[in-house]
Amino acid sequence: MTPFFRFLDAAIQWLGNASLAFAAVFIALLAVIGTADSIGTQIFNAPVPSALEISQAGLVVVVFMGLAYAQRRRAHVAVDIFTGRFEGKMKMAFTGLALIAAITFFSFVAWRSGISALASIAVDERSWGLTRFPIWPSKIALFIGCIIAGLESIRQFVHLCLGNPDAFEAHSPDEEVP
Amino acid sequence: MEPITMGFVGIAALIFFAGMGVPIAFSITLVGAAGMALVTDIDFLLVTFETLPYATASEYAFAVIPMFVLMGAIASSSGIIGELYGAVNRWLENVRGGLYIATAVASAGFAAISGSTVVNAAMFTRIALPEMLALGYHKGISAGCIAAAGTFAALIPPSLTFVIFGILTGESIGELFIAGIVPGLLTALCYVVAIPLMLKVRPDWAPLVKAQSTFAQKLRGMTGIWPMLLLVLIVLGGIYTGITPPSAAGALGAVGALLSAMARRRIGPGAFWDAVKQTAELTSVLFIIIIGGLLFSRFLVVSGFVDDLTALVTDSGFTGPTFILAMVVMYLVLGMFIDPLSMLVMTVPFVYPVIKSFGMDPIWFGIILTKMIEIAVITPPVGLNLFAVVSAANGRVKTGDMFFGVLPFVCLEVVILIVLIAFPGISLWLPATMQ
Repeated sequence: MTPFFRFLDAAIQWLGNASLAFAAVFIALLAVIGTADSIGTQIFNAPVPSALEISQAGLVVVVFMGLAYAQRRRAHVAVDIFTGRFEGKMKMAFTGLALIAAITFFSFVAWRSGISALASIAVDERSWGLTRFPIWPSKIALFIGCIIAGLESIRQFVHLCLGNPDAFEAHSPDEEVP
Repeated sequence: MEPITMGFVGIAALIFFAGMGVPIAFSITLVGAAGMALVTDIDFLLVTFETLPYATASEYAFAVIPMFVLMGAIASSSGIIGELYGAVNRWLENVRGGLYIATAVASAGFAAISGSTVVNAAMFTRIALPEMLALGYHKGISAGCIAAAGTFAALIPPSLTFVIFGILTGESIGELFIAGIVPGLLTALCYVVAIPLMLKVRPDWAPLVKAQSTFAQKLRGMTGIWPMLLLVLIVLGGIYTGITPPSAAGALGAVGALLSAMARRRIGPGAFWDAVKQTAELTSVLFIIIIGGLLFSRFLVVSGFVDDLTALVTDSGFTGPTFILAMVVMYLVLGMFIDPLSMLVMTVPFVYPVIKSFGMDPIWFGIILTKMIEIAVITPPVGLNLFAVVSAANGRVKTGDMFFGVLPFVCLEVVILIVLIAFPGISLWLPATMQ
């Protein structure tokens, strides 16, 4: 692998780690806001302002910013009762098919969500309610999450084509995560 | 092409790609998208891709998934399972097969804070199996008991199976949670009754161990588990009384589990980070499967398959009970080869409308479906919990021992399933009292 490709490889992994860190922050935020809002509403009759809107936006970030990490760890649910029995080139072919499906999926969702995000930014889309919470940042997060997950799938596919199918699995130890 | 043919071609394509090892989220989305492109105009498909992922991921009610996953992950890493198992075990140590019963009771307790059957089975394997084997318990039955008791997490709330069923069908997740309580506890009770009966026939499966703990020690053992009991009470009580929606209850549970673990110095920054990473990963994985399932469901609806299938089933002489019987057979066979989540997402889009057309209660069907999924994860040759136990046993248990040992529990589960089908009130009376 040339230094340029090595740099790209490291950069994509770094992006995956950064997006996971984002997802982690928003998981904590969802828990804290949900708790504060419940206690505030039930005990002090003072709900957290925009708790619902923040939680909705936060959930989008958690779902799509965690995708690249899930893809890197190959955590997606798959039925491997037949394919698990194969070794060598057959195993590589099935892995390749799964990665092409992943790349197609992430590209398609990124394409359409990108268009949706641009339209949302253009009109400064905000939620309806007492507080007009902006919606477009979470739409951008959806788009970016799919792009990073797509890049991660491409990275894995390149490793597969270079003949080292286990390389991308070996490149994903937990301690790499910031 | 006729809608019914189109639908079956779609289902066959889905099974084909899933069988080729393509992750279920991608198989179901791409097949659903291709089907929609064929039966509607392309604009409808493009707009669906623009709206569906965001609409699904921004639904506040679905925040229940990361919150309960986080709660379970924190509780797992804080050592609560060990304390729970130890506390129950002290009270049962002079009973023949006490460790089997302790595993069933403690597993039911942990199921109230964890929604994953695999996590439940793997954790109990690490804690209970070494002790069972050291005391001369039967290897296969020990592993079978742990794998089977692990499935309680599917029925006792907060269950991820209920959440996914609720999202795919639009049924109330809170109602499903509450409906699962009695069948879940009934299942645990059946284990507590059936294990001694089984050991009367085969006493060699568990030696009688002399009691060692004093009454004071037994009481002291209970002190470590009260925070968990309080947490369960707050979470389920909040949902039952309607004070908190399931998502907010999950948030309370996650924060409560963290504070409880911190107060007892049972969790550090590293373990917390691991719990958050696990939550992010599982949330992403589950949501894209759900998005794919919803897309596939739309394809089946817009193609006219669902209407035609419903008409076909009702016209072909099926009644409600015979259809349920056919479903039981279908899920038990599917469960031998396909993991439960895939099975759920692949079948609910067309089974659910038929169930509704027969006028059956969808909440009750959710319970029956979940029970069938419980059985599926312990049915050889592909039972997720069986592999979780064998893998966590680190060579102590072989797959053959496991397959033999789980059989008595599979039979017990089938009996419980029949009871739940015959008496829908067991599942439905508690949600009927909800506020």
